Amino acid sequence: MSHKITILAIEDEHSISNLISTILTSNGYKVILAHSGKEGLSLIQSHRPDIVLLDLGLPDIDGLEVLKSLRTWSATPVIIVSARGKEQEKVLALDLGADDYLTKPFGTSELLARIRTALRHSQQFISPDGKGPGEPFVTDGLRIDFDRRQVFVDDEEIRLTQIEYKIVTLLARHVGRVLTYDFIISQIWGPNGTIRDNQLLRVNMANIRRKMEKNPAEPHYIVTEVGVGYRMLDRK
Amino acid sequence: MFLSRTPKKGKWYFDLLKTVVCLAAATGLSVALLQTRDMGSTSLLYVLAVFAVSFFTDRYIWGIIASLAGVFLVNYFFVPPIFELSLLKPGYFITAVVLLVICLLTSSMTTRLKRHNQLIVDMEKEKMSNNLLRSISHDLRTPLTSIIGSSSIMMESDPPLDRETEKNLLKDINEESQWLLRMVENLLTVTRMGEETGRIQKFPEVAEEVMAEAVGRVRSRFPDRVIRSHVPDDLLIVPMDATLIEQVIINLVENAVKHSGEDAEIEVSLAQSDSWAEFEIRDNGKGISAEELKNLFLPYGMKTADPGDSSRNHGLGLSICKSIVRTHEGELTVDSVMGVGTIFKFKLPLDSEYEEFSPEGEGVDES
Repeated sequence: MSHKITILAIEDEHSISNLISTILTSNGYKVILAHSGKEGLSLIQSHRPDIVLLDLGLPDIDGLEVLKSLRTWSATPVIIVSARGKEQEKVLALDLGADDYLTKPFGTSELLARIRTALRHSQQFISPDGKGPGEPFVTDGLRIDFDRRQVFVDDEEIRLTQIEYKIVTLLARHVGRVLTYDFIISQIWGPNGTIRDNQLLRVNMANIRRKMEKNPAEPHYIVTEVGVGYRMLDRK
Repeated sequence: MFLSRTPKKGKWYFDLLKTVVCLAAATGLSVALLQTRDMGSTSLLYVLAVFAVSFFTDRYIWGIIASLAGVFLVNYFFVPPIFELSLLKPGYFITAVVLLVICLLTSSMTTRLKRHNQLIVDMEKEKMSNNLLRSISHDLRTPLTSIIGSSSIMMESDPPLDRETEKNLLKDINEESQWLLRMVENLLTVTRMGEETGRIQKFPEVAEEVMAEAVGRVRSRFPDRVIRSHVPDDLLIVPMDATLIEQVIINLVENAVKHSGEDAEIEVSLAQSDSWAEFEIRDNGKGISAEELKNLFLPYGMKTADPGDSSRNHGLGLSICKSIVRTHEGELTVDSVMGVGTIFKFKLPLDSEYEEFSPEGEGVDES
């Protein structure tokens, strides 16, 4: 008996939960539906899903409260579902421990991509220094050799500064996932991020784009989620 | 968005000031006329003062105060015995009463006139709003008709339709839904701008990132179209509301996609020019006629053209772009030559007031 990956979706709108259920079931996942925050929390406890989809616009409790509550005892990957224009809400959720987000309305490919990414990162064996099992990172033309600290785009080496390299490898280690500006700043410059650090990050990212992307106006590897953070696309 | 603001009620101390000034002027002039012993003029000057007070102040009460004050002032300063109140002299008593009545009537009349004007402004606003709503409703009905129709056919067909027909109907449903979504996003944008204050919060944003996200979204909706983008070598940081400017870029690029013709190529570019950030959306397509150019940015309700498919996107999207850019203290222009192409250009000021650049990138949340 093979173990199907279980996804719990906390969503009060029936048409959306039907949609989620249909997409995921037809792609080989097992789906459990909850229609309120309380129901969701209790089902997470009883069924221990591999991934949780959480809509922030729930009727009974604020989605963020559900997230906060969940994070006190579980590290299950959580993907929140939000709307366009609510960037503040997304950042808050990510800072509270959500792993990624989906923007309504979303399509099949986006949902499946987020689920795949969440699974990939929850199953990873991360060695203490965070470099991964020593294998180079490869995604559609971009290759990172962690041991030699080299970055190649289409087999051409890209010369990055110390900080630029740290940023690129941080995003690569979390490939497919969005990382908030604050998270990146705290990982690279330490926990007390200031306004100056934010500007440094933007400038560094602009330089990285100009070095790595064929056209910095149409980024292929690292996209900006305006108002939220950066994401390295998982193009395998 | 489209209308002038309603005049606010002035502060009470301004009204007090106006009242005092008018009465003082009347008193002063009357003193000057004392030489001629012309009592008639004195009364008229005070009537004029009361009329002025009613006209220039915002509340009924000031006119009344001025009327009463006027009566007492005339009596005290000008009717013998001077510097004494002597209201009971019969002749004067009638004068006093008549003066008071004139003042009260004038006061009442000017107040009614002002209310009437205010009513007209409010009605105009209503009419505009209604026109907008009517046009939007009409535009919403069209795609919905298609969606309901297509899905009904698919549900009711017995025997079931062939795969090809089904796919076409589904494609229609998807396209019309996408259009509805864009309309909803544009409408939400309007609420974000705050009709009353017409102000927005600007934050320093990396312009090329905003542009990349906007253009990326249009590209994913129209994967078959050629849409190129260019940014300068130097990083350009521009104070703006990112969501709003994204909407402008999306609207302009989609407008180019829809109206330039199927094979036209679109180019989106960003450049710095003195203290402005210039965004350009150009295409080498059909172009826009001079006639259409005139009405291009007008909001709904003002177009007399029949609402065929081609005018659907023009209606709301472009007028919103104009509003947003204007609210950013920028400029939006269009240049077009039939058969050659079209260039939409908008520029935003680089040195503008904005919030401190905060790590979380705050913004106004609309529900």
